Amino acid sequence: MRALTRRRTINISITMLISIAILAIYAIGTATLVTGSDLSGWMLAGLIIFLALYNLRKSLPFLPLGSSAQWLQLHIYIGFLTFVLFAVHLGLSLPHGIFESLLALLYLLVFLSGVCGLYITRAYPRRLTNLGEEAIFEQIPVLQRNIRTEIERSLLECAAETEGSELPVFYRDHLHDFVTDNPDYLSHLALGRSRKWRKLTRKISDQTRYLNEQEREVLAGLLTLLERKHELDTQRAFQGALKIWLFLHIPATYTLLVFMVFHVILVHAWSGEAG
Amino acid sequence: MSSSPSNSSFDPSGYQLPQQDWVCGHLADGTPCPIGPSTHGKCLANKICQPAYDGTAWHCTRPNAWGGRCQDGPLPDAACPDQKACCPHQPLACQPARSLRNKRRLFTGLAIAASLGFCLIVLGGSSRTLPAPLLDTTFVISPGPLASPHAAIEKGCGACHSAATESTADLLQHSFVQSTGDKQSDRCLQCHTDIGRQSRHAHSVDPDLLQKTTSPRPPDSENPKMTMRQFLARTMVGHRFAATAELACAACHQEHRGADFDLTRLSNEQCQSCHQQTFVSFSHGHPEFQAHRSGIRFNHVRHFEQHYKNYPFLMPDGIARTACSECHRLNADGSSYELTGFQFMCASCHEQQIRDYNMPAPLRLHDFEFLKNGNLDFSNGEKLPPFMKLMLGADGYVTEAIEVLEENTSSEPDDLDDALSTLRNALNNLTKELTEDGPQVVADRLKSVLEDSADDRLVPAFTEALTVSQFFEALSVSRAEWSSEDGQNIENKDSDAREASLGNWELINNRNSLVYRADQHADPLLKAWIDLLASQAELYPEPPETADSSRFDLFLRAAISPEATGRCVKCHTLDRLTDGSLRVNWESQHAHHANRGFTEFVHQPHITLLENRANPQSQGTNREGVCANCHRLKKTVNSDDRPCFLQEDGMPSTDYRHASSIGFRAVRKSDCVNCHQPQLAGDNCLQCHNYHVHGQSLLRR
Repeated sequence: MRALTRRRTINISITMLISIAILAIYAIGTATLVTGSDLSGWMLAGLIIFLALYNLRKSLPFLPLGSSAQWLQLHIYIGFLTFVLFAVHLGLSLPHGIFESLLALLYLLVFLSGVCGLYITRAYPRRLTNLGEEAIFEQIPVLQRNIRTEIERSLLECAAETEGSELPVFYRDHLHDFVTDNPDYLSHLALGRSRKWRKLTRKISDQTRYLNEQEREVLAGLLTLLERKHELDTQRAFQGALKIWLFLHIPATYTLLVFMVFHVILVHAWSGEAG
Repeated sequence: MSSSPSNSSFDPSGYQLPQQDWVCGHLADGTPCPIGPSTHGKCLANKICQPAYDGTAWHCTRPNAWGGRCQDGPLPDAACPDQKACCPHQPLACQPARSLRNKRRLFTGLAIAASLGFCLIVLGGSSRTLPAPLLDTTFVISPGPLASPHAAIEKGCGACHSAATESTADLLQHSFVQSTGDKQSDRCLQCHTDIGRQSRHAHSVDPDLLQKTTSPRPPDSENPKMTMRQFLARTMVGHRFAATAELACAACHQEHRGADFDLTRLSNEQCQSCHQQTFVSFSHGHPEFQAHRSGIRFNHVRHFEQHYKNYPFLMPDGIARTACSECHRLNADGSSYELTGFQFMCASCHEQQIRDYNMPAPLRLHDFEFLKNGNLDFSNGEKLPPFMKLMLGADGYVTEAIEVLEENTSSEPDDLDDALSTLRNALNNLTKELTEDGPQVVADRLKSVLEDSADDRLVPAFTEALTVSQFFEALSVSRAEWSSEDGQNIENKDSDAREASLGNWELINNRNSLVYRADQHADPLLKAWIDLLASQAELYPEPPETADSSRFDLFLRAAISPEATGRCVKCHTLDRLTDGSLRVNWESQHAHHANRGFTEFVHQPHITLLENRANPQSQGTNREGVCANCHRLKKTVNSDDRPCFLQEDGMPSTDYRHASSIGFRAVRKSDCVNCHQPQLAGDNCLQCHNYHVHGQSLLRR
């Protein structure tokens, strides 16, 4: 058994065992007069705080607190455990109050964004690897600009040499938007390519018959550059997704922490005198 | 030509690091300048080249990292060629843009600020300490709508939560420090006063009383006692509340779950998590029912099988009853059957047993002798009446004299004379005080001889009954007659007035005695007198010869003996209370039915169901057959049946298990299980059992 598979099997098994234990304790607790919401609430709060510390841990790489990979493993599996605790804390029912509903929705937002993030960080890097040479996300606009410059330079040189305007006109009418526009992110994420790409290549193919030999060579060069641009678009979409999901996960996490503290204050202030 | 900022000399790894907060504003176009913005987000394009003037010409100083020296060199300012120059290759200034990381951080900060602001507005916005809240946000923090019984509370959150009336600062303080406000359960009890003073204890009953009165009953041994879930629940947290621990109302009554939420909902497992003995369900393991205990003795078997058949010979005026509905009537709410009363049910046969004036002398009941004046002769073993002893007992010195006279403990004639003299003086004083000050004297003297723990209501009830019975008027008559040498003449002179002033009292002139005879059912004086004595009796029913019985035990025996006037306890049962005292069940139904007890059974729907089952076409015609479905006559006597009366002397038993007193077998659980299953009529504990009970209902268990 491969090490990764073995580790994943062990981690999933431990998580499921703990989840079953939590649900069993809850089921047993419902047979008593002890609600256990305090216990589940404090456990949930503690685990959420631990999960949030992962972001802090990444900011402090010099501290000997275990590797980031180890923290990530804990972050993933404890994250799933919090969902079980969350369900138990709610008594396997929906909240009734406005604030409590907001708190629950926030938790679900964080949890689901985390699940999405887990999928993105597991699936997209593999697809990026299949795309070939990986570009740094921040440098992609520069690389695409260079491609555009190179294309336009080739066109100008070709036009000067052949004294024909077919290629520049073709570029203006059919290729310019593709070269200058931002990528169609959803299309790239879903299909791995732009929806316009096939149409574009077909037009280039159709255009070839109207060109002379020199222009055909130039057009072949343009096609290579356009392919590189398209590949950069795909990389931009995937790498962007790898970063954008955190825009939901991290702010929602901190908002959840604030709401959680407020929830603890409310619960203790309003029912702390229970007895 | 000049070199472009995006030319090949540009090293892209120079500054575009993911952790940087700002990037060049031209990056989106793919033409960022090589220097990039400052860490504070300011454009540094003009820092790329700082032309240097050597006195004759300007020189380019652009570093190699950003393209190196250009061949063209700086362009001097036409107006000040030796003071100013600018680089012709300097990139256009830009508005630096935030990096992705910076945007995320900003977004996170805004989210935190917004959420904090929201929470602070909600927390302080309700302005609880202000007379008129500017912004009422309590609906935001409310965990849900109240159940419909509480929805109409007009005081708002403050009715249940002291936090609702505290300032925000106090609220935050109380979140982490124990609140000094009222306990929530106390606030509940401000409205729910019917639960009583022991409301915080299990079943709203004093823990000691609960332990004394709830002995475990064996469950059905053929079935498993508990499920694994019940076992684990009890192991983990159960039994913790069973002893003296207090329970908050909220432990069972969960609020803010919506208008339709059942506040009294409790699962069978939750009930059993505290109970000493558990079982799986009503059909599997619930103990069988105990036989019904009635407040009066009425053996149905004996009446149906013997008395109603022979009554023409024994009770010529008696009326036999043949149907349940002749004596039992469904009450207004359909919950239980009430008896139609003594006059309708019993009087035709039993009233004359109370009013026995016309009986032959040997069969007449012993009168209730209250006072005895003069003619104090103890030589033949005669004793003073109990009432007199109690009254005189308040004068401590008289007790010894009475003892000397009654027990004849001194052989010295002088001692007997002194004791008799003392008794006469005390008796004269007593009679005089009773005549002059009436009920107050009785009350004061009784209080001085009763235990401190005696029920405060007993003495006033007795003195009132004594007054209503015309005791004090009879006493005046007796004094007048016994002090007159011609008492008989007085009696003859105005016999009607004399009769009217005596009431049920009678003067026995040959014994100088004032006696009382009951002439009707539920005689208030006898009831009050027996109640008073029973509350003080400690050792009854131990026979006086074998136990150190107190005078109250002896007095009670005299008052409830089979020969005593009224024959009250021929039918009315005696109960031993948990404090050791006795109480008479004057009501026909056993006393715990009058209070909220552990078990409730509503007859009406069950009767309707059985009637329809027996005869769907005509309802209400087969009532007796319907009753017999559950209430079966017990025609045989088992060895474990307790007798109603002690065999030795015929005195009434205080054993509450004398089920044979009404002659019915216990209702069988199997009759109920036919319907009361989870999928049918339900088998929740609370369908038949109350959680909150009144302690009074347990006193006689």
